This record gives sequence, C-alpha cells and structure tokens, in this order.
Amino acid sequence: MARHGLTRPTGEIHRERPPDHFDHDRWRKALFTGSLSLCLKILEDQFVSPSTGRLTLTRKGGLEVVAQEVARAAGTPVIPGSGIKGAVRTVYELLSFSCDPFSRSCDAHACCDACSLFGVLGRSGRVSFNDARPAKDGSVRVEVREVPMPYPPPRLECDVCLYDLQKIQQRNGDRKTLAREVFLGTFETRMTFWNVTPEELGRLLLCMGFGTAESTRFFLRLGGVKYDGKGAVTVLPRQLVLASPSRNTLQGDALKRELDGWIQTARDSEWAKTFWPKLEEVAGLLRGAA
Amino acid sequence: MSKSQVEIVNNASLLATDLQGAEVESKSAFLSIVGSFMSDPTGDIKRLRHMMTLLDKGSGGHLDRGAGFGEQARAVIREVGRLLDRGEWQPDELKSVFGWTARLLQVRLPPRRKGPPEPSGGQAPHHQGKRQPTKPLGGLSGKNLDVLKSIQPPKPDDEKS
Repeated sequence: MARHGLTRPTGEIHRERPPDHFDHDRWRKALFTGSLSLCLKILEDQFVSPSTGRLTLTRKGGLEVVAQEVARAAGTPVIPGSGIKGAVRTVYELLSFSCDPFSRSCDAHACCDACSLFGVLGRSGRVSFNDARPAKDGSVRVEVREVPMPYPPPRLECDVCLYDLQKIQQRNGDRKTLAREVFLGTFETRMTFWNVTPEELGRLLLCMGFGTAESTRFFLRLGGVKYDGKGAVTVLPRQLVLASPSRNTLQGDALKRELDGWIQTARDSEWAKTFWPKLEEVAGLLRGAA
Repeated sequence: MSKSQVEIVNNASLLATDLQGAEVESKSAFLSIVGSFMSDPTGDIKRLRHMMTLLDKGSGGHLDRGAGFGEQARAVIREVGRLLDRGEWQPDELKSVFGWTARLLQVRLPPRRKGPPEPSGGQAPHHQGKRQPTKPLGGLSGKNLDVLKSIQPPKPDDEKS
C-alpha cells in the first residue's frame, strides 16, 4: 500500500456567483441536461466494500462469523450514490482550483469550480449519482473476506490523498485481520446532470477515468479498504439520454462520439493547459503504474 | 408495546450511564453492534444475543481493532447483555431503548471527561464537541423530560412528613 499526497498546480481559487441559469428547475438550451447510464465493473482481483459501520452475523464457508456489513437497500446490494459522487468530486477538486469543502469557504453566492458543479451548503449541485445496483439478477455476489486491520495513516502535506493499487505492507510481520462483507461483480448507476457545459462534462468524464488516451485512463476507487489497494472499478458508459439542448438517446458508437467530443472540448480548453499533466499523474497512480 | 415511553427512556438513560461509566465514549461502537438489530424488521433478539456472544469470543477479529474500539465493544456487549438478561423486552421496545441510548451517548459528556474532546488532526474545524448538559437529565427534553421529572423518587423530607 502507498498513500500518496497530491497537490494542485499553483493558482488561485476563483469564486463566482453561479449564474441564475444554473438553477436546477430551468433547463437552458445552450447547456446540457440529461442522464448517462454507467456500468461499474469490479476488476477480477478486486472487490468493493461500502460499509455501513455496523457489524452483522453472516456466514463464511458454512460457519457463522461476525463481519462488517456492506450497504444494501431493501436487501439488494448497493454502492451508495453519495460515495460515487464523493469519489468523482475528490478527483475533480484535485484537477481544478477548488476549495477544501470542509473549510466552508464557499457558499451559495460564491462557488469555486467543484462547489458550482457538485453543490455546496445552500446550493444544489448540477450533477448527481443514483445508488449503483446490480446490473442484472445474479451479477453481484456478496462474500466475506479477511481484510488487513487498518491503522492511522501518516499525515501528508497535500491537497488530496489517494491510494494506489498495491497491497498494504506488513508492519512487524504480524498484521491482524477483520472479517468484512464485500461485493464482486458488475453494478449499474446513472449520472444525472443539469445545465452543464460540454467542457464541464468532459472534465467530469475524465475524473471518472474515461480518458480517450491510455495516459489519462484509470480505475475509479469506491468503498472501503482502499489502504489495501482495493475498490477499483472500471466505469463504462452505456446510454446517454439528453433532454437539452435537444432530446436524444445515444448508445454504442454515437454515444462514444458524443463523449469523446466533450472530452476533446475539455482537452482544448484553458483548463487543460494547467491541469492535463496533473491528470496524467493521477491516472498513472490510480491505474497501478506507480 | 407493553412498556411505557417513560420506562423506555429511563432504561435508556440507565444504559447510557452504564456505558459511559465503562468508557464508551460515543455512540459509534454501540451502534455498530446493535445497528443491524435495529434495522432488522423482525427484530430478532436471539440473533443479537448470538452475534454478541460470537463477537465476544473474537469472531471476525473486531475486538482487536485499535483506537479504543475493542474496549468499547466489550463494554457494550457486557451492558447490553445485562439488559437482555432481564428477558422482559419486546423487539420494538428494545429498538426504542437503543435509539434513546444512542441519542444520550451523543449529547451527554462522559462523566470523567472535564472538557470537550481535543480536535484530532485532519478533522473538520467546525466540529464543536459535545454539549455539556446542565441538568441530570439534560440529554432529554420536551414532554418526556416533564414526565420524567414528575416521576422522580420523593425526597427524604417528603417521606418523613
């Protein structure tokens, strides 16, 4: 395991009053409103484990065991949408001149890049994620795994901390383990967006690991046990439904062309001049090259 | 439910006091153990008891967790076990007791602590710590507080007269 501290390129946070047309109840023709269905495919040697913080009585190999419980909605395995949004926002904050959301330095009248798109206290965001549910019946299974006991990580002077895909190093050669429920398989979710510019959509897709080039593609990290290199998922687009600027439903090649167009808009923007090298650094880390 | 709300709150208050006396510093460890029972529609008390027994024997390795969780979990198992030993609880009553207990653990300061906890590194600066109750039942409020006050045991002077 390695926990990496990353810092943004030097620059000031620009806070602006979000224009009135960013209100969620009015769709502007010049901007994009719609939803993008996404497939979250957990890698072969990986799992995702969004914990509830509770302990539960479950079974492992025919024996009863007390394990940390994973999230479910009415008994169905889910990855909470709030967790997906948080994972994407973290990368988006790193790749923009944005505030530390815990500092409460932005408000409804003065928002940085990330607060404008993802929301801040008093102003709803323009992007949301549904809870991810199994792609089809039987596509997700729940297992109980022994995971290494976490310990307080060292403090790093940085803007954002990310974990790579390496397993945790043994300390003193005697690491204890915890029983934890985990998910394996494929989930589906939907990202909904309102009044978003093509550049913002392109940056959003890049922050989910959608890069058109190998150097900007990576695995999004969801759930717990990231300290042991777990939680990596491949995010794949399935269907785009646009309500604005024109009604349209795109799949397959047409969908790929549309998304590539948004990413290219971001690539050609002023933002890329500052942040593209940092995006490649993040992608290298989360792809496992580090 | 056969128990009145006052009995439930009184039991919750006693349980919270016992837990805090046993160094359970917040509701986290408590809810991690009783949370699955509280969200289970059937409210299987035997299952809760069985889970606590396995946990106490070391199942899953959770008692080896650091940051004081293990000690707090042992205290929760002991004190909740005592409550269950009385064998007088319906599932809904027990859920209500646990809900009130969690609330009291959140709003009451542990008896031995003199001030709000030191903010730990990396935590959000807006966290203000727990509020200090000014009265013995400061964690409770509103109608239930009035009811509880009215059932306080009579003072020794009253007994003499």
